[in-house]
Amino acid sequence: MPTGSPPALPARPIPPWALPLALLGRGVLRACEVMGGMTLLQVRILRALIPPTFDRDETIRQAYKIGVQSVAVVTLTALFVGGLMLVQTGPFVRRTGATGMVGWGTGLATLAEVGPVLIGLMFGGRVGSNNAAELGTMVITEQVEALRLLGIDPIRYLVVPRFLSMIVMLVLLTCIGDLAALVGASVACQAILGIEVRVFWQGLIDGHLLDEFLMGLVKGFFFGGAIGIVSCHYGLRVTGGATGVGRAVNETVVTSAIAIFVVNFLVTSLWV
Amino acid sequence: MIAFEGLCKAFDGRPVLAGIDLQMRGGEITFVIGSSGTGKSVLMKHAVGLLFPDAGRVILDGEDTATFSEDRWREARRHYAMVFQHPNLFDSMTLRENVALPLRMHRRIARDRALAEAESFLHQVGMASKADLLPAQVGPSERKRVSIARALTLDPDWAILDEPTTGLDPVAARSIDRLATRLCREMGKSVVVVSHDLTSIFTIADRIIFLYKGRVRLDGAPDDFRRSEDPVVRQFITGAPDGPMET
Amino acid sequence: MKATSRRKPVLPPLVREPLLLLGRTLAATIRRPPPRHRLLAQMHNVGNRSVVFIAVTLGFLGLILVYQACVQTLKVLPDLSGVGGAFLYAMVRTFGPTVTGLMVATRVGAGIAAELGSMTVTDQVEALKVANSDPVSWLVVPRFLACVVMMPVLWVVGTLVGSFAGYLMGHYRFAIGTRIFLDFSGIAPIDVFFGYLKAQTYGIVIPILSAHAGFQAFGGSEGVGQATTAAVVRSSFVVIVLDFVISTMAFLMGH
Repeated sequence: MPTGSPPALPARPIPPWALPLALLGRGVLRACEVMGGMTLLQVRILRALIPPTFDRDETIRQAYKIGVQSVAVVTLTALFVGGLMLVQTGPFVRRTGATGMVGWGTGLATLAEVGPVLIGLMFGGRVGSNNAAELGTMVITEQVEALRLLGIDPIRYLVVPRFLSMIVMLVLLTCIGDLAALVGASVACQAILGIEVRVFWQGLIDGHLLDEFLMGLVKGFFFGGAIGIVSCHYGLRVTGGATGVGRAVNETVVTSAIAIFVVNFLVTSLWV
Repeated sequence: MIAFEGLCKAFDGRPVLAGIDLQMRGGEITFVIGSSGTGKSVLMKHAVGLLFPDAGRVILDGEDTATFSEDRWREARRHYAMVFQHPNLFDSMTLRENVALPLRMHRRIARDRALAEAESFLHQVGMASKADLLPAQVGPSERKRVSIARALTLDPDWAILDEPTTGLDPVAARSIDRLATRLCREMGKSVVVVSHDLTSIFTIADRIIFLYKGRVRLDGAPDDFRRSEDPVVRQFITGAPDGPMET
Repeated sequence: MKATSRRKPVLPPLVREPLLLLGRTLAATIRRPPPRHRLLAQMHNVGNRSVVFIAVTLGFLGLILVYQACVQTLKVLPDLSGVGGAFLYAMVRTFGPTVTGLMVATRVGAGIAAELGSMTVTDQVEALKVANSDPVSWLVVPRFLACVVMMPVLWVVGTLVGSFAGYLMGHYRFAIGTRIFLDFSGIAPIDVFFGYLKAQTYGIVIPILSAHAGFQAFGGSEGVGQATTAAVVRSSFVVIVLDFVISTMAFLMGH
């Protein structure tokens, strides 16, 4: 990927009073470079999508792999997230006795915000980091160069299938995870709060949360895209062997987390 | 035809190529030789657009590559196929799938047909019987054969082999030599071999280009090379530890 | 360090081995505390270098939580006076510690696994053993202590930044008065204690799980990638489970 190297700082020593400024400047430059690289990658992906000239077999293979990797960990996490959200309402319910609110409150928080974000974070940790490691390994073992030598565009063959399948799979996983979270919440409702499961589901259904659920899926869509871009960006830029791969994975999960919180904010504030 | 005009390339300020003027007409087996670190592989990577010159020009079939876009390079690489020193097969695919991939991507043929066709390419390099193993399950010389087969699927006019015999035992190395000869004599490819394997050089080369300190030191037939009076060339052939050659 | 199956995240060895590592780490800490400068270097890495990341993520979290709470409340009644108190309560008890914990698992946990993983696959850990130094006391202890000390600090930072961001949203977007929003009457000392307890627990668990994942790495760069992934997934998952367990415990104790 011909993206430029970060602009080097001037060689002459920085006077102590200017150090904070220099650090700030370096941080800003690095951020600009990362953003620029990812924007370029996004443009390349879009160019491969219109007209669609990417590899369909590889897309299906990737989607299958991603599903197998992440469905268990996402479901398990979501179960606990649901339980957790329910327990949070416990003190409130004990004080006010408003058992009807439990289903609505937990459902709202889970479907609209907490569910998609935590599922996204787990997805970034599992699938995003794995993808960065895989691409990084392909880069340092010259497999990406081999593709280019064979006249195959790494964007069309490697990046676009991963990008697309992450979007599709994260939307599906958000559905599954939402369901698991609600199951977890209803179990916790009975077991810990001692409120009947029926009351929980009734409150949930009366809450008319279809809109929130759909917003959660839209978030899954954008989170998937963000994780795809971030992980491919860092994966394809790996240099320096095993250490480089570890660093790329680390940067991928950190940047994915930032992207998830920022995108979450944007989607909610534009939707609601 | 591959031509380099005044090609210069430096890495981190350290010059590796310092003005290479060279033409390769094709139809023969050309060896690019020299001791380690003299820029042999760097030179040939310029011919397929994996590296770009700091100064000078790379000309492919009469066309200056300075204006090539990445898409145009992809097109060019189908005529100039390069096989790396480390056979970089896709390690999650079987050998057959490795070879089938470019077929599938370039000719847009169905997966099953590509897999069937891949077998005939594996047969050409004598690897058909191991088609369904993973790269990690076969030896280094076999991986090298498969990566040659994979390059052949593009039906290139040129095959550029980067250090094909380095790291192989003598028997495996000679079988790679024979494969290179067949590529040229039977399949009509122009072959460029980057090497410092003297046995290969004297067995199969038609033309030898000797690089030293980033320049072409000698360019001629194997006999010219053998009879050369140049002390640097003499030292390279004899392998004497002391001499004018700087390593 | 025995290699275990990576498929199922809750196999017995995945519980037993980190517990063993925790024991060895504690023993090594007491037997030979790390030199001051190594500890400070790790604390800088864990703490200072995570501050911006945690501020950004918790800041956006605070913004959106208040935004949602206000919008949803306005659907039912036009009175936003309760939002601030409820938000601050949730921030101190759950979101502050747990999201900070998740972010530390992501940044620090992945970092530990990547570092130790690359050292493992390049045989540097073996070299340490050959040189007769204990990898646990040399590599794990400074990182472990740094996390134990810095995690509560980051919890404070994260909770403050998140709360302040929420306050900005409530005050400027929904015109909730400062006094009304910053209503701390619902937060008892015990709530702060439970927040701290969570943060402290994560600070113990994350470095151990990550170091364990790092030592498990084998087979070159791919192995390092897998180890780093495993560290993030396991630490994040355990953070959520521990949050659930501690919250339930607190609830059943009547808080």
